[in-house]
Amino acid sequence: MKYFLFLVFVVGMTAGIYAQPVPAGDENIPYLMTFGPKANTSWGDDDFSQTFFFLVPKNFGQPVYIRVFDPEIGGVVDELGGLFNTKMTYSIYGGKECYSSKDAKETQPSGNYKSGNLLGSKSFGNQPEYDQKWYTFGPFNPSEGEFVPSFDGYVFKVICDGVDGDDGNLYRYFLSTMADQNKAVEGANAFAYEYSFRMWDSPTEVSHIYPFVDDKAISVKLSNFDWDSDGMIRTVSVARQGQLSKTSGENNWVEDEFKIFEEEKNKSLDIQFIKRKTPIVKNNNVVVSVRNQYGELLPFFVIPIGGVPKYNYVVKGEKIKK
Amino acid sequence: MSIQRKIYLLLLPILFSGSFLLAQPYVQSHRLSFNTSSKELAPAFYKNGLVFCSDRKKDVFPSYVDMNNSQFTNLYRADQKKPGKFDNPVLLSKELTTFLYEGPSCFSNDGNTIYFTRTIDISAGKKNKQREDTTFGIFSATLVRGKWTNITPFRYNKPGSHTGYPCLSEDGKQLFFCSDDGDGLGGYDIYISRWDNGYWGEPENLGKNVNTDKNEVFPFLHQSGRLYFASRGHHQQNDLEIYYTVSENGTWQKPVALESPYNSAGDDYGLIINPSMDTGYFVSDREGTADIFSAYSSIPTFLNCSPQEENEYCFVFYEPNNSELDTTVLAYEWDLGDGTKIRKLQAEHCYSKTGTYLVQLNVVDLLTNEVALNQASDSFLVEDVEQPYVTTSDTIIVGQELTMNARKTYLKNFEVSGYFWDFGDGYRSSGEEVKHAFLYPGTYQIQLGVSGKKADPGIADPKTCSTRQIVVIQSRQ
Repeated sequence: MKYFLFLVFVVGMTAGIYAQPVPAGDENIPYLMTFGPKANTSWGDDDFSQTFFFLVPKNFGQPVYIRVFDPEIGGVVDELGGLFNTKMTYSIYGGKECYSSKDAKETQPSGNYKSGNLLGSKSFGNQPEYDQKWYTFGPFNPSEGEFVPSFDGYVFKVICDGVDGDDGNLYRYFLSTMADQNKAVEGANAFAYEYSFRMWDSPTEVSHIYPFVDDKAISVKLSNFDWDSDGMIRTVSVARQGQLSKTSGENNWVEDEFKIFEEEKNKSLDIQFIKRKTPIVKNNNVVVSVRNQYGELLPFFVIPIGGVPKYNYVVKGEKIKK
Repeated sequence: MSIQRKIYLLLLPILFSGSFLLAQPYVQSHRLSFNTSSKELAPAFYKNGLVFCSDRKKDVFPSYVDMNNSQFTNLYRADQKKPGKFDNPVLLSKELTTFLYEGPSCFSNDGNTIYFTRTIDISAGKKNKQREDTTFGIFSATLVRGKWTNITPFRYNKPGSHTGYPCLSEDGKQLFFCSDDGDGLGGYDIYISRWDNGYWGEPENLGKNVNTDKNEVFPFLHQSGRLYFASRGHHQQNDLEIYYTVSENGTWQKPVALESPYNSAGDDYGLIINPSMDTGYFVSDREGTADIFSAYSSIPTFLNCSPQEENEYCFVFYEPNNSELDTTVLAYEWDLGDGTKIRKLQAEHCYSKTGTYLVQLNVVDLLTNEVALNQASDSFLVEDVEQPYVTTSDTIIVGQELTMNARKTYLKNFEVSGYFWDFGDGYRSSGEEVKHAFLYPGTYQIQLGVSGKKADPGIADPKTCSTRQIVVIQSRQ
């Protein structure tokens, strides 16, 4: 675990990259996605809720803000389901159990998933004043989060719940040191155990998510929901040149289990979402999670731990007789 | 030796005097100083000297003779204090000496066991000095506290026949010997018996390639695997000549006759050669009686030479790390550093010359059409094969002068002090470039040995060698 912590912070800081945009740049994901609870799951959201965790280094001494881009449901960005009639609530949790509660780290919004102290909450509907605008929660003192020794930092939880309606909410987060600007928090990161997101419409774009594989993993099970057969899902790592996984169709889950190589432990996998070229699929939403052989969920860090994994190509030459 | 070959040898210096100045016979022979007017024969290596047999008079008492009035031989020992300088011979051992026949012998590697030839029946009374029964067999004895004891007959000695000329392999597990017991091909044949479970196994005849209807005698197995022997049956004359054969896949091959100075117009036999093949001893009656001669080569001997490899600069390049789980279709583009680019998963390429080449791998992802340049690279040293290298023609006509050079020899960390050539026809030479003419058609293995300057005074000179085959054909005229 010490090695893990070392990677979480040192890699982030030395790389000069901060995990404040969610989704982050390397992920190349346009928006997070949460639908209203009256939507059909075949539109892409299996549970109408998304939980993200923000991790602030223990020694960071300034207040932080959690900002939401395009928090309302309407206007240009969001996915219309008839009329824009959807209500969405964003809730910020800190304090004891906001992270450590078992239910908080599950894929389904059930049980005590809203654990911890509620630090802020706001609901949005079809509100043009927030269309493609930022809404800011905070300021929060980092110590208002839950101190997690294994991360050596404070964790805040952000839940976006669909409260009413059937439209799709597309949004982003930013962990900032300023209320009115996106100014990164040095050494911070963000992660989720289930990732619900919108795919690009362009068939040339490739999205990535980066589950961290700890040293316990022998095999992992990659689950994807409602991929709509929109191309291929491929896993790349330092030891994996490119392994295609089974993909889900409309409104169903598909699981694909594969072994983990020794070289992949304590590093991230790169799960790539490669859209098919024809016919072009638009407005595709997908939900992804990864569990190890014990059924434990692997965290998707928006800044991949150990850096973006690249397959280690080697040139080998041998003398031959002609 | 055929008359034709002997004429060739005589004419050799006249026909090819120019070229053969550079390719002289490499073995010098000398009659050993301890020879007498009596017979000296059957040398065997023992400690730092030789054991041989001789019918020289050993004491003042009357000698026993066979039915031809020939005196019986006994075993003598001559120690060597420095190379080529032998002490006066003395009887090898009182315990092994009888008034009858002691003949050819050999020793185990530690020198503590002797196999020797001796009259089988030594029990006859001493009154009759002329012996009718001279059948002999092989006996062994062991050296215990300076005395040869446990004299034991070889289990395959046969009454009424002659079994002798023992030769023990270096590991002591093979015994070559000769017998005229009538079950062979005629005269003396060479047999091999193998040590198995504490006994010498049933002897096997070496077969028709070696044995003839005449005598094959004096086998000697060298560490190189060559079995030297003498025969009257592999040529038209009735003299004994020295040959060697090797066993390939369990079959002894057609023997090769040794050239001068080993073979002469008289009887030549009993050749033994030291492990480094630079000194040997043999018996010849070329000067009248049977005497022991030394043979010495001033050119170092090279053993276990590898066939010369042609210099090819061909490689296959590949990416070795992908796992069995990888299913992605990728295209590799190999930049091979000499201007060549190959688009294949594995790139095979032959460079035109030696050098260091930077090989780079570009990867095209066929799913995303993304081109990832220089995903991996490595420098490859393309060099000649490390070996002595013979540059010459593959085919030459009999008698035509052939030039050979060693200029393409490539040896790393090796300071060359000399080039030595063995033309495979009994001739050797030295120098970076040599000339030689072959007298007979056939296939010859040219051996190029290279010696280097030693790095430390305490170690042997480094040396290495390789071989190249050439074919000598008859002139079309």
